Amino acid sequence: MQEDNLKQKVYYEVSGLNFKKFLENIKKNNIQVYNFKRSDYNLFTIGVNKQDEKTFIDICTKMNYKISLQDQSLILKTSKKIKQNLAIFLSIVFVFIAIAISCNMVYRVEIYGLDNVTKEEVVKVLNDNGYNVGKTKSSYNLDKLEIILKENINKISFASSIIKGNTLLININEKIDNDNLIYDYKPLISPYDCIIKNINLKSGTSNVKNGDIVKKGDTIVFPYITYKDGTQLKVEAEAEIQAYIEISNTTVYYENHTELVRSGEKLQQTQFSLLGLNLGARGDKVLFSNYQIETKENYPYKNFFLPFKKTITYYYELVEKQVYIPFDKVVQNIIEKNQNLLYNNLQGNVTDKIEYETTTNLVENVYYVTTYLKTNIIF
Amino acid sequence: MFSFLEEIAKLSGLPFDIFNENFKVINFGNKVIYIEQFKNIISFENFEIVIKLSHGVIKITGENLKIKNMNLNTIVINGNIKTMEIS
Repeated sequence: MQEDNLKQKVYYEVSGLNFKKFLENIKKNNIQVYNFKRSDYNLFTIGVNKQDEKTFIDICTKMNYKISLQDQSLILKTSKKIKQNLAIFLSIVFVFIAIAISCNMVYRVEIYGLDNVTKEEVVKVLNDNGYNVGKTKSSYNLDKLEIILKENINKISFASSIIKGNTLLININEKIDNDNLIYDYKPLISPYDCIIKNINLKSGTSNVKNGDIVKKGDTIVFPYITYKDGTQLKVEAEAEIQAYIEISNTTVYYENHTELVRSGEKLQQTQFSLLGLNLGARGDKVLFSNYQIETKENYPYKNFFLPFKKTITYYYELVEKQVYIPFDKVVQNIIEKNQNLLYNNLQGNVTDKIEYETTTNLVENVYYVTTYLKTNIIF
Repeated sequence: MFSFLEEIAKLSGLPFDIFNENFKVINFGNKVIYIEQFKNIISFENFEIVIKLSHGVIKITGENLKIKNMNLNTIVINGNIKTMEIS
C-alpha cells in the first residue's frame, strides 16, 4: 500500500454482474488493475491507475455497473485537499516564506557606551554609509562598520558591533580627554596619636620625621612634590609608617541602673513563603513598645517535595527594670569589651606584642574604666 | 531472462521454442502465483479462480484469493493457495 501511495492509484467498489465480460473489456483496453478482490457474488473492489480512471469508469457505465470511490493514494488525496483549500494553503505558504525572510532582516539599531557622542551623530554616520535598518543580515559588514565609526567620529576610541536576533548592537568606547582631567589627591592623615618610629616615603612630601609626636588627624605626607624652581606637581601621597601607638577606650558603669528584661509576655506571627514570594502572614499585631525578636524557619512539606517555607517570629516584651549589680561582678567583662573594641579598631599591621593597661576611677558613684592599648604598628 | 529459459530447456530436455511461446506459471510457495500469456479469466471467486491459458486452463483454489496485479499479458494472484491444477 505504501507503493500505492507513491503512485497515483484509485480504488473503486463496483457492484454488478457478468464479471467475465467486464474483465475481457478491461484486458482489451489494456488497463492495469491492482488488488482485485471479490467480496460478494456481485460486489468487488478494484484499483486502477489514475490515468486509466476515465476509461475504467466508461467501461463500468456501459455495463451498468454501480461504482463508488473507495480509496485513493495519499498523493491524490493530498492534492485534492490542497485544491479545495487552495487559498488557505497558499496563505500558509506565504506566511512561512514571510517569516523566513523576516528572520533574516535587521529592524533595529541599539547603541551603548555613549557619553559625549550623541546617538544622532552615530545614526547619521551609519545611514550615510549604507548601514540602514530593513536590510538582510548578510549585507552588514561589521568589521568595516567599526572602522567607519572610528574614522568619521573623532571622539570614538573603539567600537564593536554584533547582530543579535533582528537587532544591530553597537558598543562604543569614547576617548578620554587627558587635558581636562582633574587629579584629586588627598594627603596622608594619621589615624592615631602616635610617635613616628620610621617613615618609608613612596611618593609625596613628608611632613614628619622619625621621633616626631603626631596627633590623630595630622598630615603625615602631602600629595605633591616641589621642584627646585618652586613648581609643584600633584602626586598621590603614599608612605609606609612605623609608629608607636597608645589608644584608649573608657566605659562608664553605674551599679544602680535600668535594664530591659523580658516581662513574660509573648506574641507569635507565622508567615508562609514559596521561593522567596510571600504568601501571607497571620498572627496578632505587635503592640509592645520594646521587644526582642526570635525567628524560627522550617520547611514543613519537604517530605512531599514542596518548597514552602514557614517562618515563625516570636516577640518578647521587654520592660525596664531597676537593677543593682555590683561593679566587682562586671569589671572583668567591661575590661574585655574595652580590649576587643580597641583591637578591632586597629588600622594597619601590628609588629610587636600588644600591651593592655586598665585604670578604674570612682567619681560620685560612677565607675570610669579606661583601657589602654600600647603597641608598635605599621600603616 | 533468455538464458534462464535456455537453462530450463536444457534441464527439462524440451525444445527452447516451447518456452518462448507458451504460457508461464510460477508458484511462489503457494502464496503468490505469477502467470504469463493468459487469455482471459473464466471465473473469479474468493475460493477459486479459473484462468484460460494459451494452451489449457489453470484452476487455483484456496482462501481469500485476489488478483494482485493484472495487465494485458500477466496476472499475479495471491492469497492462501491450496491447490493449482493445469489441464
